[in-house]
Amino acid sequence: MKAFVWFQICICVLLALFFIQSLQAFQGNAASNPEDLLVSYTEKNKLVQPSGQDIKISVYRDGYVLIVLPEAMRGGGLYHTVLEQEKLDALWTLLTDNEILAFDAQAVREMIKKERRLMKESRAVVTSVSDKTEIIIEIYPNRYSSQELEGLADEDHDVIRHIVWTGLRWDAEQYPHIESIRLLSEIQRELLSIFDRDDLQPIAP
Amino acid sequence: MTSILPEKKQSNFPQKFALSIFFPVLLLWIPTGETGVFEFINDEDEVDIITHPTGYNGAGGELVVTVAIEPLSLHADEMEIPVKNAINTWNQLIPTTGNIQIDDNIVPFRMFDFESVALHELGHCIGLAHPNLATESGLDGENKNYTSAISGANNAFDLDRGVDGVIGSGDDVRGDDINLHWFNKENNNPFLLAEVVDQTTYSLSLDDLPSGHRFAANGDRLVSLLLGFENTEAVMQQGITSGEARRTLVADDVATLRLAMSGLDRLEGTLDDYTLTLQYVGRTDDADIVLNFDNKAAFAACRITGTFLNDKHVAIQQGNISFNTGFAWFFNPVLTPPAPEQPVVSVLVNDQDQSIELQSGDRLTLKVGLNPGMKSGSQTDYWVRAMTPVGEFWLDSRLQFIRSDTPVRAHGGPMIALAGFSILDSTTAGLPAGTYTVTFAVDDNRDQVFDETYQQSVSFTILPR
Repeated sequence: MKAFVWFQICICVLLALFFIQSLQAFQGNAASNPEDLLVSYTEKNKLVQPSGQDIKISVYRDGYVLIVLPEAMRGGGLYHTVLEQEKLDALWTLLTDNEILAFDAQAVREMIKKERRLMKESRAVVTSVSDKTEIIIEIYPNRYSSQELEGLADEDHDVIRHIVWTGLRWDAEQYPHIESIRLLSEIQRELLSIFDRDDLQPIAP
Repeated sequence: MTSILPEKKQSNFPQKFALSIFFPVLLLWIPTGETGVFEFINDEDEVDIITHPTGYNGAGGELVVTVAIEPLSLHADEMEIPVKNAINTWNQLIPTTGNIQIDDNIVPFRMFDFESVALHELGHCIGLAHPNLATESGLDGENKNYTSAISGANNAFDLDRGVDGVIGSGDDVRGDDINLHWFNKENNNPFLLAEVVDQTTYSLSLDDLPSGHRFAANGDRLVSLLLGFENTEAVMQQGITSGEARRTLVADDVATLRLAMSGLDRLEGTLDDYTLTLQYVGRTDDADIVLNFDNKAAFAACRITGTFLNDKHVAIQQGNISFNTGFAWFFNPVLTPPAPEQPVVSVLVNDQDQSIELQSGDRLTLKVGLNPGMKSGSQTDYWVRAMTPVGEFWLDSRLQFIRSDTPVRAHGGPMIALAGFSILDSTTAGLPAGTYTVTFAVDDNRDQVFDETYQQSVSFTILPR
C-alpha cells in the first residue's frame, strides 16, 4: 500500500515536471527576442474592412513560431508552436536560396508583362485575377546559425531582405517557369502549412 | 357653398405640405451617369480595353453565360439561393441607391454576406474591374479608394483628395495618373444612369470632364454621400465589412456593363450590341463561371481567362470564383422575387390604400410608392392629381397643388424606387367636406403629356360637421 502511494506521488511529480517544462518552453519562447526573428510573413487582406486584417507568421531562430490570425477570420487570435530542427533547416534553405535573396520584384514584373504582351499579340489565352492578396516576406539572412552570427557587426546581424508580391498563388500557377515565383510560392506553402500542425496552440489573451 | 379654395394659383390644399425629399431628389436627377473599369488592363496602351462576357465574338444578340456551383464545394447547398439572387440582379440591371444595408436582421454583424461578395465576383467574371485603385495598386487604407488609374511617367500614384476632402470625387488632384474609369462627359456622377451608354456619352479622357472637375469620380460610399445619396456604393467597389449587405447594383455598375454591351463599335443601337443573360445551371464544374469554396483565394477572387478579339476588346473564356472557408459566411436563405416587368405604383391616405372617412380636423397624410421594376432609370413623367369637391388640382414642380383643368406635370426624369414617400402631412381642417380622389401616375415616356400609363388612386371623404 505504501509502495503504491509512493508510486502515485512519483507519477504526479513526473507529470507536473513534464507540464511545467512544456509551459516553460512556450513561455520562454513567447517572450522571443526580436533579434532572433528569422522570417516574418504577412498576408494583407485588403478586401475586408476595416484594413489591418492581416495574417502574420513569425519564425524565430529556436524554431518558435508566432501566428496572428485576424479577428475577421474564424478563430482569430494568437497561436504558437515550435518547429522541429529539420523543418526549420528546410525552411531556411528555401529562404536563403539565391533566387530569393536576389529577388527583384520590378524585374519579375517586367518579365511577366513582356510574356503577357507576347500572348496578347499572338492572341493566346490571357489570364486576369481580381481581388488578389499582397504578401510581405521579411528575411534576416544573417541570423540563422551561431556560426553565421559570430564576427558579425550588429548592423550585419540586422540585414533584412524585404519581398512584396501581390497574387502569388495565382502567378505561381500561371508562371511555373519563373523560378523565383515558384520558390516564393513554396515558401508561402511551407509557412501556411504550419496552420495544419496538431501542436498549434492558442495563446490566451 | 362658399368656395374655400380660391380660384388662383396658390391653393389651400398644399399649403401644409411637408416638403418631401422625393421631388428635390428628382429635381437633382440630371439624366447622366457614370460607368466603370474593365478587366485585363495592365499597361498604358491598354487603358481603353473593354472586356466582354464569355461567348462574345463581335456579333450582336443575346449572350447566355452559364453559372454553376462546384458539386463538391463546401456550403454548396447554402450557396444556391444567394447565387441565384446574384444572377438575377445582374440580369435585371436595375440601378439603385441606398444599397448598403447594415442590419443584424439582414446579415449578422460578425459574418460576411456571401450574396454580396458573389455579386461582386460575378461582376469580375463578366468583365468588370474595380472602379477604385483597390489591392492591385499596392496601396493601403483609404488610399485604395481613389479612382482606378495607372501611374504616369513619375511611376507613382498622385493622391490628393482635393478641396472637398473626399477621396474618389471629381475634384481629386491626380497629377499624371492615367484614368481607367469611364465617366459620363456631362456630369461625372457615378450614381446617375444616362439614357444612352456608349462612347458618345462616356469617356476616359480627362479633357472630356465637365467644367470644374479634375478626375473621374468613382462609386465610393463617401462620394455618394457628397453627391446626395446615403448608404450607396458601387457593387464593384472593392472592400466589404462584416455585417454588411450590398446586394443591388448602382448606376456605375449598370453603365459599365451596358458600355460593354454596346459592342465592338462602342455605339449603342448598332448590330453588334448584345444583351447578357446569366443562367444558373446547377451543381457542375462544366459551366462558363463556376463558384467554389476551394481556399485558392485569401477571401474571394475571380480568375478569368480570355482572348483579345482585337487590340481594344477582350472576350472572357472561362471564369472561376474562389472563396475562403476561413471566414464566417452568411448565406441569404431567401430567394428574391424578380423585379416586376412593369412599374408598380401605389398611393396611400393615412397609410391605407382603401377609401376612408375623415372628420374635420383629422390628420391627413398622403404617401406615394413606386417600384420601377425593369423600367428603373427609364425617363418618365410624374403626375399627382387630386379630384376635389371644388375642382381638379395638380402637384406642380414647386411641390404645390395648383388648380388646373389641364394636366400639370410634377416632374420629368428617370424612374426611381420610392417607398412610402410622404407628399402631404397635414390635417383636414379648412378642407371642404366631400370626396377626394388622389391619383399618382408615371408614364412610359417623358413627353409632358399625361398618359397615366401606370397609375393608382385612393379616395377619402371628409364628412360634414
